[in-house]
Amino acid sequence: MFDTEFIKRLEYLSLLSKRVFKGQLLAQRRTKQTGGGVEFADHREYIHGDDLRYLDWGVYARHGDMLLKRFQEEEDLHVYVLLDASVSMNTAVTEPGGGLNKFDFARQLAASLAYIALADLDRVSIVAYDERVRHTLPLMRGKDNVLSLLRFLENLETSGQQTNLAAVVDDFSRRAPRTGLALVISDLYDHLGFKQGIDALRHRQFEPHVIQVHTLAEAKPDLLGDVELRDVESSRTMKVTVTERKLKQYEQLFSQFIDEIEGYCRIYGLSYTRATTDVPFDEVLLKMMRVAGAIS
Amino acid sequence: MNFVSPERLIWLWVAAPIIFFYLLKTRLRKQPVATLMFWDQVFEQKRQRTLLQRLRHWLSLLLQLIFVSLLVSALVDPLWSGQQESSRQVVLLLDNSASMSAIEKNGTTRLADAKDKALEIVRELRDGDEIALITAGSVVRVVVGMTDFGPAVRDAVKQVQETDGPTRVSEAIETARRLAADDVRREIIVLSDFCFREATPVNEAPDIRVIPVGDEVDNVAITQFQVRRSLVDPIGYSTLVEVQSFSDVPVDCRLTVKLGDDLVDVIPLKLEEGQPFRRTITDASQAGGILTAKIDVDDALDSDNLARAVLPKRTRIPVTLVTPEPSLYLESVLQAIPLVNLTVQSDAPEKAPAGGFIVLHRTVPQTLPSGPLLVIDPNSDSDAWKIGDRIPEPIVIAQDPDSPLLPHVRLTNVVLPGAREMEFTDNATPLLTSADGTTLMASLVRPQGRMVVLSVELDSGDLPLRIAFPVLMTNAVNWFLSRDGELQPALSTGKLLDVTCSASEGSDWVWVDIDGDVHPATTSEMTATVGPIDKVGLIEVGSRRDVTAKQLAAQQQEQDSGEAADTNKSVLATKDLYQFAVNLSDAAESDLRPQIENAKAQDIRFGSGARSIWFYLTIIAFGLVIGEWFLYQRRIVG
Repeated sequence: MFDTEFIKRLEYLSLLSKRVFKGQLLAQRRTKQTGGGVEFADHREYIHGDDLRYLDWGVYARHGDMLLKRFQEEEDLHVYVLLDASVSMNTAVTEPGGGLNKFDFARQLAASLAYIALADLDRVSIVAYDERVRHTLPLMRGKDNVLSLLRFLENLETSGQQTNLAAVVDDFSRRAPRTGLALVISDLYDHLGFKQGIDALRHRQFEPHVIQVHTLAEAKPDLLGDVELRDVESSRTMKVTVTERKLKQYEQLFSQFIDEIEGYCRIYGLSYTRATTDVPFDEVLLKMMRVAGAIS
Repeated sequence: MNFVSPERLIWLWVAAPIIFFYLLKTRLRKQPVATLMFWDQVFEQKRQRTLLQRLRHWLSLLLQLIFVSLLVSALVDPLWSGQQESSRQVVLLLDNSASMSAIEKNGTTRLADAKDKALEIVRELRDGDEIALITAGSVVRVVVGMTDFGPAVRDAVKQVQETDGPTRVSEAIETARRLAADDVRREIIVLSDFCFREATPVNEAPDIRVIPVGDEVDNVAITQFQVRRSLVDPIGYSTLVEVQSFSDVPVDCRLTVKLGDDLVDVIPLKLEEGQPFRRTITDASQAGGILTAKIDVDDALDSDNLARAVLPKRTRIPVTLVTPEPSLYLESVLQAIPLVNLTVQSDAPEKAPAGGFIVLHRTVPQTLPSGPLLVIDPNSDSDAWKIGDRIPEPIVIAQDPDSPLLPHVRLTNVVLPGAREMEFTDNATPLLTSADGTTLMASLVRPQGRMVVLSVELDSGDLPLRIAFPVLMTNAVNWFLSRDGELQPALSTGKLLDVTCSASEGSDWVWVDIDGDVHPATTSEMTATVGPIDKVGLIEVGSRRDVTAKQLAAQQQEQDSGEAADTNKSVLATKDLYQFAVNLSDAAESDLRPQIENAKAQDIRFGSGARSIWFYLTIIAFGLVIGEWFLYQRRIVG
């Protein structure tokens, strides 16, 4: 899956991100913590016991106010890629011969983002999950670890009987040494709702970035007539007669689902990217870069 | 219930592949999906009626099987319990009388509507049914006898033409009953507008099914139009015209009477229902011609808006009186007859003048002249008679009431002095007979011409002074010239016409209808019978020779008109044919308001519906398949 050509494209994307979007993507973004950096952030009242080395003597000389200078603390960005490895991601089952597998596509995206982060000397960890955390690639730094990262992704397989992002985040946040950027790559087909998991990330001071992956057939299924639908995760079946009207209802519901995710992310200021498997992964990344550039 | 074609039940095997393919089709296709969370919402309400969902599939199959069953049932052609006893003998009775030519509000004639309905009936025939077609207009015609070959009747129905004749439904029903003698199997279907008086009895007959056509429409008609020569004016004539309105509202119109192209009278009319307009129009014309009456009204029936009559031409009649001594009475009477050109001479000519006759008074030549001959008081024998002694008291005790020579003449108990006993050699018709059985007056029809013999001495009695004598002479003139008192009545359609023909014209008589087609006449002795005549207009009657000569002359004239430069060609001499006018003149036909109420059109004798069962089965079957397709194949129900 991750051949030489793929790695070349990753390198290209990495260079492109540095040249065009310098300081605007992933690790080059500043953390929100203030502390012992060199870049001035703001003042605050002096409190007894503060280090007098950070007292702004100039202000004190001019106005007599004792203000303490605060600086932006620069530190390595921790990037966590939460990759949905539930069975619903395996479209080789649901759509045999239907183009690129959704899980493969998600792994390509994960590899790309991780590569860019590693190239930017950030710390990267990958967590594969279904209803719980299945596999974890521990935090690593530097491009030297690219091969092990790709190998990890390549060895992943879909599993589980459902998707439970909330439970995964709960487990993951306890294991994570510190907060950081959490890239959730998933189809978000979570029966309990995707919001609980994202909310949990937010509440635990992670910075979630939602990347939703789905296929065109999931948005507009080509089904008519009497069919027995089987949920590939739960193996639950449903015998229905699909009519044109029902298909329209389905498409309407799916569209509402997309709108709900977009609305949620917009409300909480989260980055959101929706990608379908018919679009090459690098175009999706370029789109993400453009969005980041536009925002900044 | 029975079936006409039970062997077609084999088509029920069609259900087998339907069931097979249905099971094949309804076998559920398994489709793995990434999640059911959306489908759960889509079919959230559907799952609440799972039982209906299951039954729905079987209902679809059931509908398809019912569809096949209905189609197969239609194929086997089931019969009602009343139908299975025997096949039917259907007699279609199609009224093509004048009133059926009326144009309805939809622009079609009543006959066209009736033909459409007749074709529907023919289409509904089942195997084993027999059908016949009779037309009931003008004359009853069996167009197609009883047959089980429907297409023949269908073609014949299409060929039926309108006539201007009266309705003959009653006669047609009798014909139909003779044609289909089996009371049980017989079904007479009358397609008519029922604009005739005996419509109600027809409606009530048990073996008759009536199918009325046409709506009630207003009409104005000339119901009578006759012309005759005046009895007092040699060139005068009288015309009786009657116009009626068959409308509930008053109608204003105008009656125009013309003689040829000459206007005779224009009469404005305001016609009320049940108040016919009648008037006698008098005028004078020696030349005669075609008298027409026309009402300018736009109504449903055209054929009764125009009527025609033939006014005979008045020609001078050359009469040669051969008498050894002047006879004042006889000369005066003959000269008093209008249009007579009298010539008196003592020697008898060899033949009568053209268009006239000879009167032999007290003289008998050795050889009787050819042509019409009136012999009065013959004094010697001839080839045709032998005379005897004078009769002492020749009182008339009997006269032929049917003879055309004696209308308006009454000589019974009149003494005719000087009459002689006479013995006729040929077959003579006695006209006046004395008490001892002696023939006092007789008529003969010789090969050379007609002859009347009156053995009365005019100067001895008072016969010349009686009114009967000039009338008798006038009758003789008319008989010689084959004129019936100058009265040539216009005919009504559907009637027969008797024309008295002369021996010289032969026995092969024909008549020419308004379209120019020649039809043979039935000739009996001196009478040619033509008709019945279906169309209004002018017809001509004559010997085949004369008719042929006239047609040739017409063709030659047509050719001559095409070759304008060649003007020296001779025109064939032709003899005028007898011309007669034919009018509808039937108030019952002109009254376009149906005379039937509560028609039992739906009362079918055999108890079935208006159509065969297979028709309804087919309709239901296709209704089912449309419903099934709408509900399932289009997947409206999901």
